[in-house]
Amino acid sequence: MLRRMAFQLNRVSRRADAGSVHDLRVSVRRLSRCLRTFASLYRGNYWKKIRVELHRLMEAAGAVRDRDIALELLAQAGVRKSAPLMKRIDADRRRLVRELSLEIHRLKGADYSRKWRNRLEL
Amino acid sequence: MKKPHRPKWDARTSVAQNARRELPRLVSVYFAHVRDLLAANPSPAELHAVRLATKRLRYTIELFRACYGPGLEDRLATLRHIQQLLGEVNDGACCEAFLARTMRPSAMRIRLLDFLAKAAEERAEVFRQAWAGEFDSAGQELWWTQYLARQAREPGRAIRSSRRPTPDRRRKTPPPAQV
Repeated sequence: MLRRMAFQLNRVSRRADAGSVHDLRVSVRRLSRCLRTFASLYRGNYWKKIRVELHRLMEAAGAVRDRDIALELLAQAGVRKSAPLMKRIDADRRRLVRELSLEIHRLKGADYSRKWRNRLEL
Repeated sequence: MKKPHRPKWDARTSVAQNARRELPRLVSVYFAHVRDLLAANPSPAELHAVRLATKRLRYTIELFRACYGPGLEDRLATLRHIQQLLGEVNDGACCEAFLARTMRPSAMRIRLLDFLAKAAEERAEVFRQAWAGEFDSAGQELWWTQYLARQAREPGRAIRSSRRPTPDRRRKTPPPAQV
């Protein structure tokens, strides 16, 4: 599960399209659920710290996802791609992708995968 | 209203024994929880709580895939369908809230919010029908709980490939003639 999330993080780093951001969120949520489900089996409370990190990541990815959904539904409502509203949401999305990339960069810089494995004794 | 059930794993017993004990309870609590929520006739935005409960249940059960056979996939498919419908409701409701927050008052804003509110309501109705008519129809909860309580095997011993066809799934075309 951790490997899958790492794969999705790399994918979003390369290309943060709607599909990859969605897949990242799914992989984060699955990992978070796994940690919560088996919480009683881990030593200590480090799993909680990981969930906090995952929550930050979800927030950042969620903000991008909200814009993706808005763009899709507005297109369904007949709003043209060139409309100022669409352009504004798209620009907002680009800014939020940059914030998500920073969050991913921060996680990678902290060598999260190795650290989490060690702390969870995996 | 019942709180979501937190499974209690017993490290002294096997994975399958834990699954047999906890997963049926988890499913029963989910059914009761969603029935309670739906009894209050929630708005599309309020269906978000049902969506979260559904997602939690699905992801938790999927952690035990290795303990079960193909019957679990049939059940998970119905859960995925419910989750998909709820996702569509949520998309509309979230987008409506997002635009209400970010758009200045205008004729276009009114038109879009109206479009999204109607779409979310229509999808919520599709979900309610699917829930009452399919997912929570008579015997469905038992279909879940009995399977989860009886069919768990230790990982590696679960029947994966040799799916025996049930009467309604049996091949209708005759087998190829022998030469």
